[in-house]
Amino acid sequence: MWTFLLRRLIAVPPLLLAVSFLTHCLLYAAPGDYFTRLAEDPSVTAEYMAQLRAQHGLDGGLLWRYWKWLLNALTFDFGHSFRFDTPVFSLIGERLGNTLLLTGTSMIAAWGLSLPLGVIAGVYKGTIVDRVAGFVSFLGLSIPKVFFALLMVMFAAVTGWFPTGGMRDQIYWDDFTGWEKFVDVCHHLVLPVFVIATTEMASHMRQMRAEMVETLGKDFVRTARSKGLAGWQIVVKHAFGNAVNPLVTLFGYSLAALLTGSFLVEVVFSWPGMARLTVDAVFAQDEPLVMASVVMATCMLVVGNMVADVMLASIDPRIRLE
Amino acid sequence: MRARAILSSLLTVAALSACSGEKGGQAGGGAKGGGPSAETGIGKPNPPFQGEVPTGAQKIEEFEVGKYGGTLVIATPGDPKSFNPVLANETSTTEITNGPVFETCWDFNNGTQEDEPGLCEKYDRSEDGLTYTFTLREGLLWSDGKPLTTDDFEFTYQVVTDANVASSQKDLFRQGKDEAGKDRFPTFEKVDGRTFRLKLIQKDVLFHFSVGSLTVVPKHVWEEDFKAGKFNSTMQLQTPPEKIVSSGPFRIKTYAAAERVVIERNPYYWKVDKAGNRLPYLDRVIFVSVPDFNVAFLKFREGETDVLEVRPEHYDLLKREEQKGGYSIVDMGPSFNTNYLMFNLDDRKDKDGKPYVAPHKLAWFKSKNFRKAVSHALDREGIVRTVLHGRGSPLWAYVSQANKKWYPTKVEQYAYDLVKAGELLKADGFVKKDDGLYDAQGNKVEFSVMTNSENSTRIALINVLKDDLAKLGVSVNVRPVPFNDVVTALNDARNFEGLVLGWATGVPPDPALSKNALLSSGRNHGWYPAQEKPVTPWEARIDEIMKLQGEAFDHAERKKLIDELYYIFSDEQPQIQLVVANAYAAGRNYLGNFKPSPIRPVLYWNLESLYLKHPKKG
Repeated sequence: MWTFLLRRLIAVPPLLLAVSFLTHCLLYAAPGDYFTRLAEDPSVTAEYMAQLRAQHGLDGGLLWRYWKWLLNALTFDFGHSFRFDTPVFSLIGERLGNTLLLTGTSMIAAWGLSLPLGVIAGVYKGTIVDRVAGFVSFLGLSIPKVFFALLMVMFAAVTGWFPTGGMRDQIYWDDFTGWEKFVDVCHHLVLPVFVIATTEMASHMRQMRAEMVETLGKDFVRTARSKGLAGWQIVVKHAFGNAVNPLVTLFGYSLAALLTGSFLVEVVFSWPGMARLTVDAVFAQDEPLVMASVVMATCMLVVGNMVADVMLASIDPRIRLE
Repeated sequence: MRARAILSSLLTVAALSACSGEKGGQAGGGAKGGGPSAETGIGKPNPPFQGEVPTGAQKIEEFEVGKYGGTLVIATPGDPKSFNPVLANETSTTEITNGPVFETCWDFNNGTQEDEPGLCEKYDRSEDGLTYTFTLREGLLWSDGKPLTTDDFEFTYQVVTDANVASSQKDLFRQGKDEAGKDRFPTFEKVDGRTFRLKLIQKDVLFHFSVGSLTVVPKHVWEEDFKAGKFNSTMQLQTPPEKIVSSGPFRIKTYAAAERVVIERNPYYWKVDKAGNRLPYLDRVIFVSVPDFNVAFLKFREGETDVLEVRPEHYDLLKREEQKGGYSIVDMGPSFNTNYLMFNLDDRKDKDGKPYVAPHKLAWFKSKNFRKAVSHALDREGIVRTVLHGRGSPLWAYVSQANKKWYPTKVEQYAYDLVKAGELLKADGFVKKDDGLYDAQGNKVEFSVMTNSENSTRIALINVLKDDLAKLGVSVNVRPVPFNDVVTALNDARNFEGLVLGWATGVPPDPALSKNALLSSGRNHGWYPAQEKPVTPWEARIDEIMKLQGEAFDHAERKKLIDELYYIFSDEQPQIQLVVANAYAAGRNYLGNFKPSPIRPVLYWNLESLYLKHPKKG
């Protein structure tokens, strides 16, 4: 297992190099740069623009700029954001918690619902329970997240039952007690979590159901039944463990998606998370911030996959990580 | 309060509530000093004022006496990028820092469009126009209670002119370069605690505005960082709010990334209303960060925010719900934002020796008759009706009608007249055939017009333009591209044929600030920038006028020169002015002294005088 992990880790630096270089090339190729928009102000002089560009390291060629970035990145200095003049990771840190709160809650909700529902649908195949679960999951799979999110914003705007966006009350927050703050954040979480969880849940549930149906048809289940084990014991003790295998891999991917999976929903719900920071950074061509976010998302993906592999190995004795 | 951040003249890009408590009594009770109070309702200031009213307090005569207390909520598209007023270079930052939080010594009144005293009560200019003496008000204090003196101005001036500090304010003071190629600046001389003198190298008619854009920062807080070469990382969003000591009516209270900025009353503020009550009236102002104008509109409609800049696409809906929503829409008249069509008159070649514009097309564009014919072929009234839904007017001059001081007395107007346009083209040898217009050499008249795709009004505009010009037989290819591509085509690649763009205004809206656009050597002289010497006689005359007006201290004399300049501009049509939209703002009816102006910051330039007539519900 350790050799496996080591091998995986060795593959990480080249991957990061490739991803960061590609991102850098794309940023470089985009017309203009962060300071271009200043150029249209009739009172801004060429001297001021040149000074800003020089100060922010925008005055070299493609390779030279990447090389400078890389040297700093190796010492974990990812530079200062152009827009905020602040180290990028302190900006990301500010937003990361908010994003994790949203994606984490959604993940718990999605997995917490999809596994039992999938199992139930699989066990009671063909019954009304299965049909309803199937309908819900098809609905979840077929509505695009963005559209669903917009619908929910409209729902909130029309009914007034939920806030239309944001993470907490913008106005009264400072006067809230601890409990009120908690309730307020939960209130703001409901709709975005609903949107992310429904779409996520749908696919997991389908998967779980399919696996369950397949496993329940296997010989060892028949053997267990003929031994006289109770129905639920078979499902929980024997079938579930076998059926859940492919879902563990999926779980690894959803860990990777913790950082980026909620982008669209965050934007629609004005959630103060990574999405708006990164999307705005891309539009504004705030290069250090874009680079750092990309590197971080890549790391998350690698770690998520590794976690999935390790989990799979520990659940399924047939799999050995060599 | 007067965004004197001259910077806010960014060319328009993508276009570019909390009180409980009973109805309060009259203001004045808690005025002088004011005791601590737990109330958040209307009536008592909370946080209370501290210390005595400054001896030299500025009296605001133009607004009615208001009431203390309450919170104003404003949605701002985009987050501030820092709280450093010296380094700020975009509006989402300057509209919070410059005015509400940091003030300057000389001010601009958005209402009257005239300059007026700020932290300084007066300034004197010497006979030769080269020495300015500024006198600070007596008893000024920073928001931490420390005195605000000439030392702070000296410090700020030192910071702004420092080679390592990238401040756009520096450009306002730079007066050429010395033999060694270093920037030259006027010398700062401290006379006493309340008086300082600036000695200029050359005359500058707008120098009081330059000093007026110097957002003074406290020496006692930031001197150490500056000396350590770390001024660029001061007053950041992460800086503890209590360290951001302010001179404006408010100080920073809290900041939450991508959510909001809360500012609260500066208890030592130095302005009073006409009854002598200390300002500001509002306890707090919350700037709620929203992703775009549509969300800002939604929040206003839902009653979450108190004021809104109304965009044309939202006008009808808001107007219908005016009564229900308890707000009024204020018609501010024509805005300052102009729209123009410009052809590329640049006859130079790119690096590979290829001309920027195909020579036969360049010949059309360079012809004054051609430009005038195009101008006559545009149905501006029709554009106002269709694109602006009737809420706007045709534009003839380089500046908008909104500019009270500098709108020219005489301009050339181009009525919609296809016959006249046809005659002008005929005089230049153009021939209209069945399938379009041809020039004398037999080339079909056809060109592309570019604009930035983020601006829906401009997209609509170029489509109408295409139809109008088709009537002359001219075929136009419409090219909406992202803003950065427009800027690249304009400034670097220079490979455009026609372009629809616009100007926003700087503060003050003074022609001298457009020198980059008007001077033939200017970088923003879009049709043919950075000319080594003027290519045409009329551009030479404009250069000359710009030089003369820069030394004319007499307003009448300057006005005459500028009138001539704008007339030349309208006659030559290097930029064919199109239309100007009206500007609208909406404010809740419980808001007192709400006097929006088309100059930025539109909604709250008089923030210290805004007040709530009664508590909000909720």
